[in-house]
Amino acid sequence: MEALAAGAALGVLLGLAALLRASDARLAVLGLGLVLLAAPLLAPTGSPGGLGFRVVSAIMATFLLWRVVRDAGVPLGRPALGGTLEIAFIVLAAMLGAVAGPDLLAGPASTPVTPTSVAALAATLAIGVAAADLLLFSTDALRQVAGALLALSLGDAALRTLAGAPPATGELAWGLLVLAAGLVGARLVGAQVAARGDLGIAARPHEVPGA
Amino acid sequence: MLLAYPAAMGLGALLLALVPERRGRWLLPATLLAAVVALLALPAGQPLRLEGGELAASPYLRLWLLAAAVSLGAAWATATLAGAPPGPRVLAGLAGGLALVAPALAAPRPAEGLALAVAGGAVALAGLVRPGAGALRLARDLLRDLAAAGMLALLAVALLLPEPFRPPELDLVAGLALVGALALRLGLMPLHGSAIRLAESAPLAGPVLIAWLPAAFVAALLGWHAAVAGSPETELAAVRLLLAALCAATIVLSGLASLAKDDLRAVAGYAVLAELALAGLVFASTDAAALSAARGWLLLAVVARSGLFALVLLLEAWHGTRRLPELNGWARVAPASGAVLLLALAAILAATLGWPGSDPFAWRLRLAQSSAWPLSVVALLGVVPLALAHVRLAWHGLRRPAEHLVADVPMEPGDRPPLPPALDDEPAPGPLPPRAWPRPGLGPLAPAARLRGPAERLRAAAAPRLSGARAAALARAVAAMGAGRRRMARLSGPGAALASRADALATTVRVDGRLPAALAVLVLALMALGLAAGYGGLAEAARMAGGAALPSPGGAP
Repeated sequence: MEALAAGAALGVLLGLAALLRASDARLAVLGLGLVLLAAPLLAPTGSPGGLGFRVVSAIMATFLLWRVVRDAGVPLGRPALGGTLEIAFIVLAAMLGAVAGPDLLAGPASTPVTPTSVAALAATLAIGVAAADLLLFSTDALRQVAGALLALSLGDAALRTLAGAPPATGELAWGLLVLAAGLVGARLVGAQVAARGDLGIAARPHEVPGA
Repeated sequence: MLLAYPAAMGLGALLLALVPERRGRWLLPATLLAAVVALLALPAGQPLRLEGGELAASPYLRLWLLAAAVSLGAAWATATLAGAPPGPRVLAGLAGGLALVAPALAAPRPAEGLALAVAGGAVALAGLVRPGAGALRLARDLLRDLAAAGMLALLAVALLLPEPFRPPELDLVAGLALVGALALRLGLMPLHGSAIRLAESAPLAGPVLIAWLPAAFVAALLGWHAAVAGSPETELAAVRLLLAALCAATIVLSGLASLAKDDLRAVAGYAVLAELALAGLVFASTDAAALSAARGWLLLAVVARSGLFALVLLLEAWHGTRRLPELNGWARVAPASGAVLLLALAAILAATLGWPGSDPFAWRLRLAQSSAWPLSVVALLGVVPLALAHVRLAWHGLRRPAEHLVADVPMEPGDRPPLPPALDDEPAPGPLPPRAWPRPGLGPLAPAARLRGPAERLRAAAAPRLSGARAAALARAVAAMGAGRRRMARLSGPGAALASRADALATTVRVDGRLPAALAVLVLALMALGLAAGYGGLAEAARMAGGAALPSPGGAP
């Protein structure tokens, strides 16, 4: 169980690094998919059926985004801080979570503090930093969509870490949420590519009022 | 049977998204009809048992879903009858979003309800996404707000456990997360920009996206709030004060904005924000009695504001403008439909204001008192500019008609600044065709083409001296007199005069092609008024609505 959680935390970090550093949209989508697949394994999971539904919904959300970017060779916007610095921030957040995790979890968590929950907290903090970075500072639509999905993953991971595994209805609700977010994200990225031919969100000169 | 409603709505949404537009014209009404039938057949008190919980259909949930289906149907009918049918992708998103409201409100735990309410918002938003710099920017902002609100609400639910399991040192963090979630989802000022831009861009989808789905989000949180926020700790008291201040400011400023704005869509949008902010005040309260008031108010307010949006959509479709100063006399140029719309406006105002002894009146008082003085007074007085905005709309309708409304000719392109296009319209392949204005076959002014025989000759003869519209009106009056001549010949005295006037009125109503659309708006307004007057048992249903199961240590919220 601890090995699984450690592997999931590592998967989350790798996925985030790919998402933040990639210059190819396809690699960024694969990184996001890896995060979505690994995140449910961080914290206690409910029934196998519920976990299966979550995995399927994560794969479907990733596929919806993949369909939009797979053929186009769509260029991504440049990360606000270059990518490498952002990766350093998420690694720092994960290390902070790993070091201070037992103290942080001793208060609020309603489940016992274990190495698994500490690894989950470390990965959750990394997801939080990445989500904030992507939602606030990203320069392309795909990373903004990824930021939205990561923000929701952060809420879910925090809930699991602090309050334990949800029942089947919770897994079902979460799966539907990931699927819905993937759908709106794919529509948004597709419309962006159709309108501009790239994923950049900065206004072009003719789109600026008065220009 | 509880799943029949979301199943019907979800299937309808899927078909709307897949079927070509011309084949899918009646898909939405068929979907809504199936959903309503499923609701009416839903046996009360038979929960659907699932692993770890059960979905229960309370009377409140049933009323909510019924009102949502009728509201969407009336909005669709209004838009279609006004000659501006919404695109199928937009309708697919709205139906899909509302499909997820049913399990969101019936979910056994708040986290599940929140997840489903956010998922509903995402599905509804997916229908609105389209190419175009402004539309894409708006969609990105809405998705960002939605995701951030969902994340913060889940964080608050995770951290704010009920007594005695709550670690007090995290109260402030959790409380601030809750305030952030509510501010983003309800569009509390200063985070209202995206909601208003959406209201200005999508008059049909607007009520669903900024009223119905945020209201479902709040309703999903209410049961949890009852369990965790009843104790007045210092940290939570500060957070409550912050939330009350934000809500009170939003109520007042939104009311003032709706009074000051000339754009009708913005007027309706700010009205929605003010009503939702009033419901948001419940989270600043430690009083459990405010919960039922918030539940009742949420449903009533979104139904009434959907009616206002439908009215705005209709006026814009008929007159080609949504700027209030350009709509002077909107109620007088088409007397029958104008009277119906004025009636609808009055019903909306009465439903949201209430009257002493009525439920909405008591709910507003109860919710305003959730905050401390003077915020409670501010929240209460915020209704004044909002009510005046309704009066202003009616007053403009009763003024001397604007020339371009009477003559039924479009304004010159340079006469007014351009307005952004609606996101509700389905994008056409290639360049968009010029929008036909005024829409043919609408209103009492356009049907001059329907006149035949002597009436048409009279209209042609009068045309050089009178404007086209006045000549047509004169010809219609003569035609009406001719049609009733035989009957009137058998009458004399007051009877003849009365028959003459009745016949003229009947003719006017008959040629007023706008009437069915106006009646669709009236249906929505009367539904809101009926709920306010106690029909449907909203107050009782809101009192009986159970909260979500309480979180417990070791088990998920």
